[in-house]
Amino acid sequence: MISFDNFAEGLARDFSWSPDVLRQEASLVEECGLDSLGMYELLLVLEDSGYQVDEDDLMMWTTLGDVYETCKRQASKLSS
Amino acid sequence: MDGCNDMSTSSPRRPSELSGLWVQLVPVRPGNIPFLYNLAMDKQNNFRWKYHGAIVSMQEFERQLWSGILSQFVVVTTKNEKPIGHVVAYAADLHLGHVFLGGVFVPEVHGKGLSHEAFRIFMQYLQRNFRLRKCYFEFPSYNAAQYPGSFRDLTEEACLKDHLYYDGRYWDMLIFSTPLGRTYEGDQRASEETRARDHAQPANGLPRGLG
Repeated sequence: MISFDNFAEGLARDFSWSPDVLRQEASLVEECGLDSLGMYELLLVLEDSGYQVDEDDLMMWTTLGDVYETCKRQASKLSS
Repeated sequence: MDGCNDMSTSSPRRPSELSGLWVQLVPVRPGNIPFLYNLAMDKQNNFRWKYHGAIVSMQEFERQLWSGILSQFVVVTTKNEKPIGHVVAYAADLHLGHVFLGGVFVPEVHGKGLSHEAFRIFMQYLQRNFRLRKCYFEFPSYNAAQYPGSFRDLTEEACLKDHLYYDGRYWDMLIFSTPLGRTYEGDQRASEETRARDHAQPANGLPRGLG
């Protein structure tokens, strides 16, 4: 599984995030600046990368680390 | 990313005319009316939606449900078919080709992005089924301040000064628009990309830009 740093840096390029928000505990809304349209764009980017985010996971997301954990869990489930 | 290379073997999620990856639109049926009523009367929604803070009875709500409406749907989640919202097209002028759109969603999904997929599907549907070229959105100024992401991609066309009364003062009503055709083309491309993704996953499964 890709590391958190690589995962976050990939998203940072798409969303023009500054390096100081690339932390597991960074808030998606306040620090990453994702409003509702931004969140939809994040879902599309993740879909584009092969992650199928379902709404139960989405409802729980508050930090960048939550997004990473969802994707990591899905990747490990599929590889097992 | 090792695990995601196998995504093509998992069950693909295929958008259809009224269904997206996360939400789908279903017709308004009598069984949905209590949900729609509670949604409209919810404390967090009521002042933002068409009643602007007024409480009406269920009977009055039902009586007005189709008044001035061109089309409307209940928004449900694709996975669980849980109702989460209501989208409406109203005040249509089919001769000139424009319509107003509105939507209201349960508070739990506010800010989660699902409303954008609902509107994307709804606008595709309207484009396919009616002679429309332009959509308008009305935002009371207190909504616009609280939900900037709702209209980031829209064009502001007008500001009706002190247009509506709520909570002891008058508020401006902002009118935004989007050309329906442009959205449809963009969405068609997005749908084609989604379909393509169902069949061909990226080799490394990394976020876009990492590969």
